[in-house]
Amino acid sequence: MISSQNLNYDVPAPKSGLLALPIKFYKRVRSLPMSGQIGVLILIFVLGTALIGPLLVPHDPVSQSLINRNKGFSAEHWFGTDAFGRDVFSRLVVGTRHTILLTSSALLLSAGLGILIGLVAAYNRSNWVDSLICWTMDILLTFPMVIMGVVVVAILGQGTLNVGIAIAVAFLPRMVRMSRGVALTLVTSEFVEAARAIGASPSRIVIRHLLPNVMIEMSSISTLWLATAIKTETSLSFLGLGVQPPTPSWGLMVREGLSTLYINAWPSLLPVIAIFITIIGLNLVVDGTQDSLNPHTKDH
Amino acid sequence: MNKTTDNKRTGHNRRDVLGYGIAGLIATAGLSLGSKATAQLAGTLRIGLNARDMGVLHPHVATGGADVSIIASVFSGLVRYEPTRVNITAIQPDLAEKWEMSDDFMTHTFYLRKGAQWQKGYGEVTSADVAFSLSNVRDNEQSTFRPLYGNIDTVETPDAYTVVIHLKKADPTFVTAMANWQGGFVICKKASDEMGDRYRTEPVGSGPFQFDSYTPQDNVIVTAHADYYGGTPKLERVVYSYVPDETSRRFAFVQQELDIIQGASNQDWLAEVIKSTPGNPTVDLLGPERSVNLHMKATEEPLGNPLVRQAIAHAINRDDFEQYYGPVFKGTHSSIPPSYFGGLKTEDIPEELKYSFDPEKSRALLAEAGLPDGFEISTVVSERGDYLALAQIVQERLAGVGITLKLDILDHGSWVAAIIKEKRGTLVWSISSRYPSAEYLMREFFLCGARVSQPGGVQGFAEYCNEEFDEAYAEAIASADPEVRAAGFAKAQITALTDLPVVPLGAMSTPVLRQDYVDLGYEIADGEDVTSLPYLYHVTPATTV
Amino acid sequence: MARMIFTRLLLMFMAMFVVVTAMFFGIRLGGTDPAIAIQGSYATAESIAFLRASLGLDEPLWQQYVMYMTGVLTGDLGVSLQNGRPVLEQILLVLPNTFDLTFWGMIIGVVVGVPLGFASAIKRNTFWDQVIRVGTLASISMPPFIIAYLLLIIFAITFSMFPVNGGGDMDILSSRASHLFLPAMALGLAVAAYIARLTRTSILEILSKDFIRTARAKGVSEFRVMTRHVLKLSWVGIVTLIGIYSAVSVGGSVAIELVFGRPGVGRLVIGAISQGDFTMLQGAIIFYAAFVSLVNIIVDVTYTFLDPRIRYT
Repeated sequence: MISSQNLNYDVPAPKSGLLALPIKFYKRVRSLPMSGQIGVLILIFVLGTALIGPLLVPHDPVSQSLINRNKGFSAEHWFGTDAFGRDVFSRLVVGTRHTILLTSSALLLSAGLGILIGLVAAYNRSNWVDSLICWTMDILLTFPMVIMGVVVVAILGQGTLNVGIAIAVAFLPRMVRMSRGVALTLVTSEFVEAARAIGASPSRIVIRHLLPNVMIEMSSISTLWLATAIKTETSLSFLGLGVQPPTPSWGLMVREGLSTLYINAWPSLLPVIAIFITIIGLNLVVDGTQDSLNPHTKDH
Repeated sequence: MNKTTDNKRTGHNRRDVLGYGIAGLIATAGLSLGSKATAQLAGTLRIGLNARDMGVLHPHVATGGADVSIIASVFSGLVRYEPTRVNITAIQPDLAEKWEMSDDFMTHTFYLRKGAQWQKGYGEVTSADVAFSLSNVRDNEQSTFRPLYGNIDTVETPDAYTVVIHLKKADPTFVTAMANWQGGFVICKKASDEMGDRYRTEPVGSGPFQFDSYTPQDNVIVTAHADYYGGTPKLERVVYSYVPDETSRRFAFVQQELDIIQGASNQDWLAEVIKSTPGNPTVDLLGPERSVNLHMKATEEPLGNPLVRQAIAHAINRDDFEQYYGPVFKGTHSSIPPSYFGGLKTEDIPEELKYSFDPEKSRALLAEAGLPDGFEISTVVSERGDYLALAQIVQERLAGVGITLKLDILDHGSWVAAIIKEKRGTLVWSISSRYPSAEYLMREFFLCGARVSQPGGVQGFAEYCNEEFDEAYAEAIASADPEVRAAGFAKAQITALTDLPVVPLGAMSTPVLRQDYVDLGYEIADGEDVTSLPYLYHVTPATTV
Repeated sequence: MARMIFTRLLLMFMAMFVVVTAMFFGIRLGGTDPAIAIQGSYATAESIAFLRASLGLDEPLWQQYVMYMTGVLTGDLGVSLQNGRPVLEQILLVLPNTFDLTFWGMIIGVVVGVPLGFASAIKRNTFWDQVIRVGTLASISMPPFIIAYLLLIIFAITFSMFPVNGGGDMDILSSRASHLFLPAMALGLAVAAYIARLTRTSILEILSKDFIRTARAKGVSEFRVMTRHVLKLSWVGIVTLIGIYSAVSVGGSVAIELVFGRPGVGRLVIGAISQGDFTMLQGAIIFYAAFVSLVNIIVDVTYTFLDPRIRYT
């Protein structure tokens, strides 16, 4: 999400191909303002937790213990236990995986479908296919994100997979719009014209020229959308329509912890902090990249 | 409805918008001065129900606990239970001044009080209403309690104040069917005819409070019925609010925005709310208790083997549940809670039929059944917290004796469909609240006709059928003598425990909290067992805040 | 203009038709069985079958669909499967609550958000700019229901300044307002943060335009630059924001209604899902779609007044 085509110029050709990407990444991060760098660090931490954390947690996140209910912080249970005697630290870490992986894979699914539909629309810009697609997406767009999720869950039923689909569907019209817009400007641009002139097939034009450009454009906005997706997922789980107990997810942990808020606030407070930090991280990165790209609003 | 409501429905005009501006100012300036937003209101009792929304307020249809508590203040029956007790000895006159039964228990005659008025000017309560009401509960396909009133043969009304009921089979305790509960609530013929379907949600009864308004997902408001035959109620109105979230109920009770709430079945929660609420609020654990059981489907191997069923029973520790739920849960050793009429007291159950926690014995029984290494079994369970917790606690204990229980967690509706329609579920946890007399739970769990696989089956998830049980049950319900009845029920329970289709786990009461300024109008002694069919205090004409 | 409104309304109705159709079949093929939800622990195989029949759920699906659509076209959204009361009546009963919440949420969002964004842009890179940016960042980094709980716990519980639960008595202004204040604030703050950030960006962009530089160079006073040029231009952007964030506001209202126990369309939706009350769910979604579409049409109409360059055909 950080990588972008305009880095190439300042990176000397590295000797080791293996190191090329991390070096690029590092240079790009260093070019961000301080706040953006902090954001990147936060995201690395959160992603690391989501990917590796569940392998290292000290306890089973769903196993209950009747005796150890609502315990405070201790060496055994770092963040204490919840009303069911489950280890809050383990739940938080595993919940990170559920929330992050669920939302980002939903976004990927949505992006994949969205790019496909958007390209089809752009390619058929002069006939009814494009009108139909635009019109359908406009309808979907009138629904607020949470309502859209609620409708999809109502139709498909509750559960982790269905929440993912709900989020994907909710983002679909935005993805389609964006990729269609990008593709439209490119379709009429010189290099596609040139490609066509030298006799490149339509599929080749799409794969070699349109797709990479659309994906680059979308990768930066996706960071912002990931924040929205996380908020949508937690809201749906909070409404009781998302991930089902006892599987941990941040929104569900907040909801479950509320009943013992005044006995032990940590089980619901910690996921709130986790949500907060993650989304701040995402926003800082977005702000940073925007500021560093846009000369008008550049701060430094 | 009235004019203001009509305006509200037509939407918002410019004056409304101006009103909002003023409202905004008032909100910021006036209320931020620290004045308590809503303290106790004179003449209004505010009750927080543990429910999402109103279902129906027709007494012959409603089963939801929240609906029933409202119905109980709007409707009345021929007889009623003196508050805090529910059994045949607590029965008092209500719409009927007196009643009598024939020696063969086949004919029951009720003499109505004169001058009892329906709410909202629907006239006097007469025998025609009672006859209409009984035929409705027995014959109307929408009546939930048809099976329970199928014994009524004919109803005669010799005059406006006399009702004669002829039964098909002798029933010495028939008067309880006429009490203020379910089909015993008398509905108004004229109102029901005139209003049609609306009567289901805008009831007209003869009780102390009349239906005033309903706001979806928010509340039902009832107001004093001025012509109530028991005297005009002291309260002006009662607001039943739907507050499904226990944290919200806690907030509102601690801030004294609600005067009475249904609590959470959680020891820590109750203690914390009591500690945080100003004054001296009270928690009462209301009966009738819900019977908590584990049904084992005999048609599924290896559950057909009695030794395996006994092994499962011995593997379970009832202390686990008591620890988890706190004082609302009491471990029991019979499916009929001891507080019910006819329920076996624990000390009257032979030691070997108690199936107490004994993992050693459990393993030995499994070995005897040819399964020394245990076995694996899977079942469906509801995702609802109360069911899931039961299942998970049992799962943990079964693992201790080598039985691997795989739980397929379904949402509640799908789970009900799975166990009732699709007859799935090798192990089924049930939490059942019924009228506190042994026959109701027995009829639904253990009779041969109750098996879910049978047409007309009820809750016989264990597919249990034993002639001996059915005979003991029939003997018991045919007698008017409480001792004979109790003996018959005891014999049936011993039979069921010997065969062990169902492991009795415990009995759960419903915690209800009230502020110290609430005067219910009747005394509840410290530590007294309070039984109230609607799972909420009865709001009487004498109740005040 | 009239033609444009007509086209938009026509599109809206066609869209609603598609949405309702998709929902109708989607929900009936999945979702909870309402017959089971209604009967609870008294359900038996027979009574469920009877109830399904009496609710008309056993009719062929297309027949149910034709009946339902005929009803919708004549303004009849059917009756709730849960309690048999007309869906439209129930929605209209709680609509004032949802309207209050989203309307005042938007007002607070604009009234708080626009000046903050403006101030942040003008005082760019000063201490106050940083404070506003951090504050708005914090606010958009929390789902609205968490903001709602924070306000609830601080102002209603700890300081007892506002009631904690319910919508109050709609006929009594003080009760209505005091029950509305915190929920509207929670929604408003969530929306305000977005609006402030977008306002800041767009003002900065206007300020960097050549004609502003020209005006400044000519010695036009800073106040005049702001009022004459910047404010005038930024109105169009602000109206767009209202359009976009009315949808966000409606979405956020669902969770906020739940937190504060307010009656409203959002709670009807959540309740209907758990009870399998198809008709109620459809009715409520139709309302949401209509509400958001209408706001969008109004926004488009307003454009043409604010910016004569924009014309719809």
